Amino acid sequence: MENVFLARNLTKSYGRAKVLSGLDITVPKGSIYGLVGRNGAGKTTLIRLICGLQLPDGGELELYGQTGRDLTRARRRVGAVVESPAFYGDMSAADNLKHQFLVLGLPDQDRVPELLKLVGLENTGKKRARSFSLGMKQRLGIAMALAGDPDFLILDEPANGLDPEGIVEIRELILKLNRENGVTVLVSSHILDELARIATHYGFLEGGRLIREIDAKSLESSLRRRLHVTVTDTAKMAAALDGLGLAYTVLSDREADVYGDTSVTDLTLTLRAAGCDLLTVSEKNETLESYYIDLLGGERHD
Amino acid sequence: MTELLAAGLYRLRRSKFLWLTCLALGAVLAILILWEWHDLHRTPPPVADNNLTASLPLSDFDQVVFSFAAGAVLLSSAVCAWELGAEYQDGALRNKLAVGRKRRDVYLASLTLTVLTVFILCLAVYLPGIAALLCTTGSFYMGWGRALALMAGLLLAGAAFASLFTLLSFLIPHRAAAAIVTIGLTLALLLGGAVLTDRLAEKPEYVSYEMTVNGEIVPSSIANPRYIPEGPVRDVLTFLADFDPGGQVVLFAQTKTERMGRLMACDVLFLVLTSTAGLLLFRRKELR
Repeated sequence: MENVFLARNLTKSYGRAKVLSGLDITVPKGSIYGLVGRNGAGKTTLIRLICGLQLPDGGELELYGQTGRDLTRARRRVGAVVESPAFYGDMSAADNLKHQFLVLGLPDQDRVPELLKLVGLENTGKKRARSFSLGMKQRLGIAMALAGDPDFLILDEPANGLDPEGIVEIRELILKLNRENGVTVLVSSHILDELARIATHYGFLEGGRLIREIDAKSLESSLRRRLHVTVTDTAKMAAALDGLGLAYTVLSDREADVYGDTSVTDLTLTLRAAGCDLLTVSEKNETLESYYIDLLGGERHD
Repeated sequence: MTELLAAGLYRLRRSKFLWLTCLALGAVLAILILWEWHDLHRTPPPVADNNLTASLPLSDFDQVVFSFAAGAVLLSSAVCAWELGAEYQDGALRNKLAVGRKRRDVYLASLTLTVLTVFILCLAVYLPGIAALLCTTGSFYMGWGRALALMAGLLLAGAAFASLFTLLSFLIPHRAAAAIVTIGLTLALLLGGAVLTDRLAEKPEYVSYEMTVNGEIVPSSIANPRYIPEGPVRDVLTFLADFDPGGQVVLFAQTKTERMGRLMACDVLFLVLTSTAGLLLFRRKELR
C-alpha cells in the first residue's frame, strides 16, 4: 500500500525533555489513522513536525515521497488543525476563508459558501470569529484546513469543545472526506470510542515512541471477549482459572474479568469444583480503551 | 510570495485599528493647521514689519506637519506590533506554514506589508497636511523641494523602523509582550536619537557678554563644556545618531535636511541588517 507519510527514528527534545525518541510511523494512503496516546506522549509534537512548525533533532520525515527541503512543496497537499484552531479573531468566518484562499493562491473564492455550509457555519454572517463558541471555532479551523482541498488532513483533537451533535457531524465529515474524496486523515484524539468509529489504522504512542501500529481489522480480531463475573472468592477463582490457562483481571474480592473463549457452564463447573460459587456473569467485548490501557500495562494475568 | 502579499493586503484593508488611527491623525493635523491659521488672522502681529513677523509662524506650520509625521512613526509601532502579533496569537502563521509556504516568503511578505503600513500612516499625515497648507499658507514655507526630501527621508526612516517591528514581532510570540517591547524600543530610539542629536549640535564655544569698567559691553568666547570635540568619540556618536532611525525622525521633525544622502544610506543598511537577522532567526524558530 502506498504511504502518504512516514517517519523513521524521529527524535525531538524541548530543552532536556525528550519528547520523541526514535519514533517510527507509517500513514497509508486512504487511511484514517488514529493517533492514540496520553498527554505528553508526543502526538502534537509529531503533528508540529509534519506541518513544518518545528524541526526534528534527528531522524527522517517523508511526505508524499518527499524529504528534506522538498517537504515544503509536499505540504501544499496538506490541511491541518494543530492544537487550537487557527484564524484571525477579528475577521468573520467567510473573510478568514477568503484570506486562506489567497494564501493558497486560489483566486476563485466560489467555494467559500460551500465550505461554510459543510462545517455548519453558513449563518454566521459578519460575526467576528473571536466571539464564536468553542465548537464553532473548531469547525472554522477545520474549514480553514479544507480550503486547499487537501489530500492529507491532519486533525489534532478535532472533537475538543464540540457538543455531542457536533462530534457526530465532525465524524461524518471525516468519513465523507475519506470515502468520497479519498482524503487521508491523521487524527489524534482522547475520545477513544469516537476514534474507534472512524479509524482504519491506529498508532499508539507512549514516551515519544510508537509502541504499536495496527490496522482496525487486526485490532478487532485481537480484542478479546470478556466475561465480567461476581464470585464468592476471587482467590479460589484465580487458582482455578490458572489451572485452565485463562486470562483474568481481579477487580475486587468478589469481582473479576475473565478473557478468552469459554462457556459459562464450563466456567461455573470449574469454579464450583474449586469451592467458589459464580453469583453473576455478564458478557462484554474488550474496547479500544481497554486495549489501550492493557497496552500501557494493565493488571491482567495472562 | 505574491499570494502571501495578496492575502496580507486583503487583511490590511480590513484593519480597523489602522484606518481609525489614520483618520484620527489626519483629522487632528488638519484641524490644528486650520485653527492656527484662523488664530493668526484673528490676532494681527504686534510689530509693523509684517514680512519679518509673518515668516516665523508660517515656518511653524511646516514643522507641525513633520512633527505629526514623526508621531505617525511612533504610532506605527503600536499598529504594526498589534497587527503582526495576530499572526502568532491567532495562529495564522501556522496556517501559512502548514500549507507549504516558505518561512522566508512569510517573513518577507510580512516585512513588505509592515513597511506599507508605516507608509500609509505617514501618508495619513502628509495628505491632510498638504491639503490644509494649500488651503491656508498656499504651500510649504520651506519650498516643495525641501519638503519632498523630508517626506522621502521620513518614509525611509519609517521603513527602517518597520523592519525592526517585523523582527521583534516574529521573535516574540506573545502579542502583548511584543507590542510593549516594540513601542518601548521605538520610544528609546527616538529619545536616544534626540539626546545624541542635541549633544552633537552643541557648538565648541559660546559667546558671553561682559561689561568693562568703562561701561562698554564686550563679547567674549567661552569654551562649551557640553561640546564633544572632533575625534573618534564624536565620529562614533555621529554614526550612531545617523544609524538610529529614531535620531533621523527627530531631525526630520525639526525640518533639518543636512546629510540626507548619508542618512538614507544608513536607513538602507539598518533595514538590510535587521531583515537579515530576522530571516536567519525565524528560519529555525520553534513555533507552537
